[in-house]
Amino acid sequence: MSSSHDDIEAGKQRPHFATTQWSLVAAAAEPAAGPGRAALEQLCQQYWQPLYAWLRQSGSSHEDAEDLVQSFLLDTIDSGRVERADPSRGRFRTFLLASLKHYRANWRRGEQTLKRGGGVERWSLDFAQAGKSWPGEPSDRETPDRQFDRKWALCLIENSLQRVAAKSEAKGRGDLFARLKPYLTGADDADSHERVASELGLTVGAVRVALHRWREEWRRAIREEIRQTVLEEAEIEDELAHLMSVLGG
Amino acid sequence: MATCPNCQREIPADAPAGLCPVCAIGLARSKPRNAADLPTRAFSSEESEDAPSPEMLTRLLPQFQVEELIGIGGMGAVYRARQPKLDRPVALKIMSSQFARQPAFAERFAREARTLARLNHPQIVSVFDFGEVNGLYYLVMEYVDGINLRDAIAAGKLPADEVLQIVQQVCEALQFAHDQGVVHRDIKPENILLDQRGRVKIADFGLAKLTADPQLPVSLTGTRQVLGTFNYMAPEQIEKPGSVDHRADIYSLGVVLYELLTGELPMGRFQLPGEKQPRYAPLDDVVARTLEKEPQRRYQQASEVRTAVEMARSDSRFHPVQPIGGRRPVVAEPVAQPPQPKDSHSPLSKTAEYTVPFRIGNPKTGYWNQTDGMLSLYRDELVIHYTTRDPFFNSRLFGHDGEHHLPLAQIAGAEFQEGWCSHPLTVKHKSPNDFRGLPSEKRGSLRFQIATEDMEEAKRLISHLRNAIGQPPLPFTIDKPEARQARARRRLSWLGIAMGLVGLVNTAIFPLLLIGLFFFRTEVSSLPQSLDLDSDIKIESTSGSSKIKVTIDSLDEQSQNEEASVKSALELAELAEGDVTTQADTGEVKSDNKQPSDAIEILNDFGLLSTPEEEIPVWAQVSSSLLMFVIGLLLLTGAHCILSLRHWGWALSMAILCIVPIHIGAILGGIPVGIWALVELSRYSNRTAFNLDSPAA
Repeated sequence: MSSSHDDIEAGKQRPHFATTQWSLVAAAAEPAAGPGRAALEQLCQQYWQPLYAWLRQSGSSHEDAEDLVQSFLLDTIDSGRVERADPSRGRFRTFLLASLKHYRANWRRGEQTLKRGGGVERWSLDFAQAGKSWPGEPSDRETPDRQFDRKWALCLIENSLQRVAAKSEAKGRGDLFARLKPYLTGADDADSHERVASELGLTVGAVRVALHRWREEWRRAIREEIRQTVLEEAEIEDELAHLMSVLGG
Repeated sequence: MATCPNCQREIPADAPAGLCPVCAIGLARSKPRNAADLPTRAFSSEESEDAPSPEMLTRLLPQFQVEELIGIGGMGAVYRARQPKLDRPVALKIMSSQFARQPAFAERFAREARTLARLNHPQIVSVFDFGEVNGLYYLVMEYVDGINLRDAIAAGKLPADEVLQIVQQVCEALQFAHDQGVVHRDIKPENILLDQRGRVKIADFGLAKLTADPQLPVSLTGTRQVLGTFNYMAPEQIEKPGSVDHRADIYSLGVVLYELLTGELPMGRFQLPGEKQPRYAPLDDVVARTLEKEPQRRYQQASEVRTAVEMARSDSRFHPVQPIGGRRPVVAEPVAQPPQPKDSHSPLSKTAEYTVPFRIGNPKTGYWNQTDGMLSLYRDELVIHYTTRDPFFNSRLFGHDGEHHLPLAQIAGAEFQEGWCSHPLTVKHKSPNDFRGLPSEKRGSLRFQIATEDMEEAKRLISHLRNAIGQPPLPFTIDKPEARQARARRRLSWLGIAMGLVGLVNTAIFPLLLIGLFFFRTEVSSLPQSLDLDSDIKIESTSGSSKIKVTIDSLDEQSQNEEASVKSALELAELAEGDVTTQADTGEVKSDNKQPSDAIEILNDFGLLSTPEEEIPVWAQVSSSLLMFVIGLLLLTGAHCILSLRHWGWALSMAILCIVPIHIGAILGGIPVGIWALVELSRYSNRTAFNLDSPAA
């Protein structure tokens, strides 16, 4: 997109499906070690919030939910639960929820806490923030599963935004991105470009170029995020459609 | 709760960065934002696999850190890279291997790259370096942190004034490159980049030349590459790729301008921008002239396009509310007021504004200081806007732009002469200004040359100018195009009929000649039977016998002498040895075993007969008849062209053929008809009548 020499075809994905984190996890013979484990750890770090949301929506207290997520993640990663869950046929999202449901059914408070060494947390997850953003009461309109998926979608968007921000930062354009970020989903026409330009004190050309670029980058980042959690390229569209329906689009 | 400005849905409180998640997922489901539907997308997957990975390139070219692939096109792949030594980003273009396999590619590549490296202009993507490693040819170019014009269009329609600014910047860059003798050959929105500050940068100068195999017609060299570009190519680029010059770029620029204004490509009989959106009417001429099929009818220089666009930008119709630039004394007309028809002879109204391009000096003959410009008549002043060129290279590099304002109060007189090939417009003035930089014939008088096609507009300008300064109107008539065309059609139809008659004479005479030829041949074969060779001597052959009989009609004294001469001649020739009998009373000479032709020959040798006419060889007769027939047919096609107002060039050639005195038609009236045709066809009004009706116009 930038410097579109020639008939640019940016955004064109490589024809071969690159190895993704989830496929690494799924393909690992022994997920409790090696690259599969690292990938799983990273994925869990990124998508623990939907787990919390599901637990809260199903009626758990903040403390219970926090404890459960912590121990579930530990257990999942350490014990190689992935193997038993046969991930090769699913997406990471469905796998994670199914595992959580299974885990919760067998969970007894205290036992796990003891197991992991008297409450020493190996994960620094910001539950305080998650608890604050939780509306307080479980919503009547949502089932826990839907809440999980909804939160998943938001999490995914958040992660993709971070991806774009990191990329902008690397190019030394982090400031401008921070300023233009609020306009990423705005209208896309000459008038709004002019408005944004005058609000930010930039030229119209700069706004148009930057917005266009970052929208495209964001588009790719979202798809890239999803790619990390599925096994086949074709599933990306399905996943997007599913998330769209969850968000009520 | 906030509402998304785009989809009007409520944005949930926990949405990241307060951005609408529905729109975000919608964005991810959309197609890539750029190049989505370009014809050039016909890029097969194996070719994109051909593009080397950034890691591999970093290994091959250790002086760069190749960061990512930013584009694949018909010519190769482009990567963003960093030059750690200079700590600057660069764009690395790797030429597709299919071009590298062409014969002598290395030399051509080096030659082109050196030329491009010399093009230093703020609006042209610079080439820093080039080279080859392991059979990969690469160019190191300036990295433009921006988007191309195609993406900019996709991201939303550009404001018209911005479009014109972009086109003007492109003109500047093109003029610069053309002055250096470099033709882009592939101007299209994908190659026009906009950087973060909205400045224009043109990429891939001259590379199209490199990637087109000179041995092959354009359609065979990388069909993929040509596909997307076809729409922007000048007609001569497709028909005669060998004879492409800088005017092809001007055509392509016209296509881009049209597309930016209307959102469509100018295909077939397209509507002018003003017909789609009245505000764009001032740009109609610019679009029409850049998109002329014949290069010689286009603007000849990119700088002229720039000037014309500048004029259009300052036109009050284009900017009904606020005139831009501020220098124009245009008074905005109230919107409710109906527009003044341009050709009415009313006194100068506030909105009356005439602009005529002019030229001083001749670029072909290298007149000193050629100057192009625009004369604009405003309510209270005449504005002369011009560009001069340097006398040595005819480039703008050492020339200059200028503008002079001549208040109407200082104008003493204005003349316009509609000459045969020169149309001078003279303005006499009392201005103290010496019009420095503007070649003027003498003090107090400015003389401009007006192109034939701008003559009508010049007449209007002069009429209004004279009217405004209180001078009587000049006796010329200002034609409406329709009236002019009707007259031209009438005149041309007579001409067509005349040329048709000349053609008919030729074609009709051919069969007559052939018939005559056979008739004549029969005469020749019967000659020896009986033929009057002279008034007194008759030679006959008696059929059935091998004798000939020479009869001398009246036996007067002279004839008797002749008879003796004949006899002695025949005897002398030993024709008559023992065979010749003479009957003095009847004057017969008989000779056995001889043909009359022998006798004729002998008698002729002795000067006793008048020389018989020589036969014309059959081949000569047939071929000359055929030639006449073919010429006749050609002249008929010429007549058809004139009558149907198509193919002016062919009609003109036929007019010349009509004059050449090698055919019967020329003798029977073709010469005057041909001269008449030459005169009529070279008249401007008739020429335009042709062009307006030609299917491609």
